Amino acid sequence: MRDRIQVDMAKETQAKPAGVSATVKAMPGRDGIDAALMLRIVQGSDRGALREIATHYAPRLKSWLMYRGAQSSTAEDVVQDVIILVWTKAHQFNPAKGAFSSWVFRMVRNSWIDHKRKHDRLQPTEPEVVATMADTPVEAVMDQSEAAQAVQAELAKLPLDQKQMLHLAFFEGLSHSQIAERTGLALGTVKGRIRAPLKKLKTRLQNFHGVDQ
Amino acid sequence: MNMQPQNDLHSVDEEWLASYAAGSLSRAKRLLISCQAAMKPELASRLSAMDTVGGAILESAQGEAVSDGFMDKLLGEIDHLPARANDETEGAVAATPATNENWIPTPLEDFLARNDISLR
Repeated sequence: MRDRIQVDMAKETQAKPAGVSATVKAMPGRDGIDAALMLRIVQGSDRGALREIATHYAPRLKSWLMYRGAQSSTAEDVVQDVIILVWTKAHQFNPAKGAFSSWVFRMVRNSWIDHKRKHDRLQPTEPEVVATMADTPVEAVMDQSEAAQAVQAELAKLPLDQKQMLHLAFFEGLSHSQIAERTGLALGTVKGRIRAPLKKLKTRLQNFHGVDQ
Repeated sequence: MNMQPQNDLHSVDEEWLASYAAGSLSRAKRLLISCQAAMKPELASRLSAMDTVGGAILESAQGEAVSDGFMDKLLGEIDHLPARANDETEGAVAATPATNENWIPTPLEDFLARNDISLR
């Protein structure tokens, strides 16, 4: 059973888009579902499979973008770009190299950075080195699918306060200082609550070749 | 956010990597991390691990409802795309410092090209 974490909404900053509930479930477990849907897209250009993926991920991608300051319409434009990329680049997705969620997470980040660059031409940015799974060194992605499952299993076991910290850092994109301000916790406490789960995950991931840290 | 003082490129602070994964690292720091990752597979692995965490959190987070008609518009856009090239192969293996003395990290090369800067 999936439990939920409810972030203290009363302490949210103005950067938080109105109406977005900062909730994260503990046990994702969509690896197999997403991989099967992607296979249907690759093998049969199955629009129904894309619709299923979009139904699950589009709202989450939109929320991720709104936490970074995008207006609703802009966020949906970027989400559309990302889902179209999923469709056009589907053949590049390899479930053996990692979870679909990691792939699309990377896509939305890169698309958002690209969007910002296009709208802020006076301050050029750079592309990211790991734009797609295909760009990642082979040795760096071995056993990534198993690693993704391990991460999800470890996330499910984390205490709620640590999951909350990871949510604020990875989903809402807050710095440690911003998290301290949001939650009212001391900066050192925030750092500890983020470092602890990442350390657990790192230890877990050390069992997988290519994720040696 | 601090980097360790030693020369070990593996020791980039985890807050930098988490911010990189979250897309909230500054442009300069992102370029720095990208270039280091291009040279150090170990750092690329750490970034990949961060993306695994980020993906798992994204997958299970609560979303913001999309507007009515979003899905129809999306599928309409798909209908107007040219046929997908499923037989497209992945890109050739990029040159590395070991194979090309003129090699520079791809992120830096792209940054320089975008700004019409030449270091050669």
